[in-house]
Amino acid sequence: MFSESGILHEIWSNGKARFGMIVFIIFAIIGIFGHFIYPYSPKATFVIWQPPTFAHVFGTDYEGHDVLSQFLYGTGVSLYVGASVALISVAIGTMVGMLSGYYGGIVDNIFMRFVDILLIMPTFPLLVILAAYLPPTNNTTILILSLLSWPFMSRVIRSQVLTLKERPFIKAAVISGMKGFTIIRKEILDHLMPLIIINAVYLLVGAIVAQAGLAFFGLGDLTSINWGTMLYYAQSEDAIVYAAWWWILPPGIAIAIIGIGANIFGNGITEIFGKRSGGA
Amino acid sequence: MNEVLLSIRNLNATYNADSNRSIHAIRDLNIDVLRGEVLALVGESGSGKSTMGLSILRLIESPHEIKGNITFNGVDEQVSVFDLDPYKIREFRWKKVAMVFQSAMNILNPVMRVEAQFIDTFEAHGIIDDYDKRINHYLELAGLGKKVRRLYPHELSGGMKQRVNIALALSCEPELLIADEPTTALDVVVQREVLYELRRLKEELNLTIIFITHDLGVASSIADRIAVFYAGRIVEINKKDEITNNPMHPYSKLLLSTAITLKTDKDSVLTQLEGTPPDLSVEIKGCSFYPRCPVRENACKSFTPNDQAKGEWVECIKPGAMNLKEVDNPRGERR
Amino acid sequence: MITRRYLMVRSAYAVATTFVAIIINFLLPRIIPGNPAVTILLTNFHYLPPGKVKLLEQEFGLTNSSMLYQFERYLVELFHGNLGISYYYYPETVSQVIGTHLPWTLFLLGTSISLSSVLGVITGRMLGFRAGSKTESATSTIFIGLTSLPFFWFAIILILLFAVEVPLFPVGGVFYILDTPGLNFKYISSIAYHAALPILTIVATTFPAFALTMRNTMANQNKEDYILMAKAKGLPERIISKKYAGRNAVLPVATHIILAFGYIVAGAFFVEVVFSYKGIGYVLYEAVTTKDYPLIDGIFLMITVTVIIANFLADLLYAVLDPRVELR
Ligand SMILES: Nc1ncnc2c1ncn2[C@@H]1O[C@H](COP(=O)(O)OP(=O)(O)O)[C@@H](O)[C@H]1O
Ligand code: SF4
Ligand SMILES: [Mg+2]
Repeated sequence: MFSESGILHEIWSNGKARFGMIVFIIFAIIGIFGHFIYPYSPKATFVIWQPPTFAHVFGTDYEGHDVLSQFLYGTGVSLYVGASVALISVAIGTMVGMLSGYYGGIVDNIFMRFVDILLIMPTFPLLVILAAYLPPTNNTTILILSLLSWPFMSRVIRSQVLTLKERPFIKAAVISGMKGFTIIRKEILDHLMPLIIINAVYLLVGAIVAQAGLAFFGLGDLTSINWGTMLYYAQSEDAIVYAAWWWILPPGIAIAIIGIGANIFGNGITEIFGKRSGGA
Repeated sequence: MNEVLLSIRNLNATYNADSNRSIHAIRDLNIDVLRGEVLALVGESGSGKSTMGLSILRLIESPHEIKGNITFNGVDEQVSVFDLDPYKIREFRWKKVAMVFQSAMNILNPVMRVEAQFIDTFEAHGIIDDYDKRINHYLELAGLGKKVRRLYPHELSGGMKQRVNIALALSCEPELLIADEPTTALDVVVQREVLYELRRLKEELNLTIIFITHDLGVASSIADRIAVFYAGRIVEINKKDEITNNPMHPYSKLLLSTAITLKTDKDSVLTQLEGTPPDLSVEIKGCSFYPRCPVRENACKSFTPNDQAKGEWVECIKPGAMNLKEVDNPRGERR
Repeated sequence: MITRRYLMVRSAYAVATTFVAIIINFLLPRIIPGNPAVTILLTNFHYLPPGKVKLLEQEFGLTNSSMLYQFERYLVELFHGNLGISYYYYPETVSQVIGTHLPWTLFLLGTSISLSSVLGVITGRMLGFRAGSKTESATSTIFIGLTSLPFFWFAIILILLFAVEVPLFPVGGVFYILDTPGLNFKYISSIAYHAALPILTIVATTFPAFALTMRNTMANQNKEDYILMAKAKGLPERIISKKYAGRNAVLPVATHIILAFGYIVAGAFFVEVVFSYKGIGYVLYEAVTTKDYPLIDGIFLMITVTVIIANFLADLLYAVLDPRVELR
């Protein structure tokens, strides 16, 4: 068993996990403070299609927006969507997974059939059709992505709870007369922490990519400025033809870096907790 | 023809399990295996018996290490196993020395039918004709029917897998067969059948067998000679009757009394060997049995054994000194 | 060895999932308040012949008949392959539009998935052999990076590099408009030429993940008893790596490929958009941007059902690959 600070310390002491953490921290800083430090308003317009200059470090886009300002601003929006989806899915998924895994029974059964069907159903067309019919706002996007994410999360949690249930320390807790809910809160949740962390990170990054994908496809709130809409307008306004790489590169590289960060972080977490039997 | 089929000199095997731990599973081991004999290796689990078997086939691979000399005096040629080039070692394996592995459960390729695992062996050794006849023959020798051929490993029981392993081991007519606990995973009835089968095959095929077991009872029912393993060394080796009737090394005695006790279940000074074998990742000085030995004395700590691979020897400064009935503390508890 | 029970469970799930997709398809246009489809229909398409309007009204549940009756009508139409009429491609029906563009997507997907699987297995096997070496860890790191790239962004970069900066390949399209379709060399090579970059994108972003799975299982093969046995039997290295290690390591990769199926389809759609490759993905993009709801609905249903069937077939194929699948 370990405390919260213990787990953070353990993560920090692993090189890969630390690398991932640093990536997230940097993006978080950009996301939170980007709103205050961008050089121009992201909506202000200048000369269009300008390659990088000292005045516009990342150049300008088809309407003359400063790309750096858009990027700094957009990072916050992209992270907001990603973090919200991760938070909602983790919360619901963990809760349902624990209850379903610990108590089993008919609810568990119905729920598992539901997840099975979702597993077979290809996600992307479903995303598209839902996003096409629902009002195009960022919150709708968050809602749809969460709706499709939590069942998988809960399944992962559920199967881990099933194996935890067979462990001696849980059995001992049951014998000692501890209440089911107390056991879940005190014993099981602690041991699920690595799994929850790793999935939260994947969900976060997955949601950022999915949001960008939807936006790129012309879905969701196209008036919002984020990594996805930047790429959408780059594509639809023929940035390729203008060879405006300064516009295309920042959001794409950001997505790639955060994706790489998540993968490496995941490897690190598996290294830390995989060794120990309580692992992810 | 040389009566020594296989001679092992100064064998050392080290497992580099991870970067900071090396396990010296075999330490300066010498032994001769005589043509046509059944030599049993007996000892607790972890004493290095399997490692010796694997070393003969040179199957201890990087990052693990083996050193020393193993000479095989085959009918047609004498080879030094550790000097063989990659092609020659491939030829040597299975054709000269075959092995029945300890864990039969996962020893067959799960995605290939049984017969295919015979055929690729034949192909590897240039046997190109009569596949059908050969496979049927060896399956029958191992007590299996033809229908096994078309099955996948997961369709076989544990005993059947072990028999397939035996049939495979015989299929290239090796001169030496290493049988590593071939009966451990089996129930008593099947165990007896397999033992019987092996003895019969030995006579029929003129085999030499190294039979590995942790069970002295099983060893004495099949072996001509018995070598007692402890902590990566042979602490005593002799004819079967000598070892079972008149063991000289304290460890052999305790092992024997364990076997007898298990068999007869009558009161005895000893029911189980107490204590644990030494940690093989640290260097052992003096007699390795010292911490558990009921008759140890100070001199044992500085005793450096040097066996000569003679047909019989005991690695103890006072062989035969221990008399079980008189020992007041047979379990070797610290006084 | 596929048991009947397994087949039944699998197909039951496939049917159930298809049914769920159909229900979603039926309900969404009817329950969303202020149906955008209706608005579009009434504002932009008032020039449709009255007969068509009625048909579309029916399709969007504008008639006053009960939901159950509507659902019945909907199912009957569906069974006749009638998915409605496209706004954007008017007067073509949705089925016609799908029929014209689907083959290109299938071509793109079929080629990419085959290439990507083969490449993933081969490179993964090589990495598995060298597990722990410098080359291997460098390659694996690059692969992790490649798997993190979004399809569409990678596609854009490829175009930028190989179609705009160094114009080796066309910026978009399926073939040159001037080519006459048929089994002639010029037409076929034109198709290959146009498909090269899209396929490269899909393959490059998908095979590294397969390779990494293969690498991991391959590296673990060394611990397997049957590998030790194969060595003891004196089998040549080549046979061991292929028939023993490789053959067994491929199984998790096959599972991975099957699971990644829907993901690759989605990826192909993005790639089509970037390359203006007129397959289903591009058409879906057009439908989304022009709010062509019947087309969106139709494509949703078609893709969902296709992926479900493909997954089902892949499951059966897997069972052939792994004799242990008793398929309970
Ligand atoms: N592959 C391996 N990696 C690391 N250590 C090993 C390996 N195989 C065996 N060992 C260790 O070497 C010692 C001897 O093992 P083994 O030869 O299997 O003994 P036995 O067959 O007598 O039970 C034991 O301590 C065992 O833990
Ligand atoms: S040498 Fe000494 S300690 Fe070792 S077995 Fe003999 S009597 Fe016991
Ligand atoms: Mg052993």
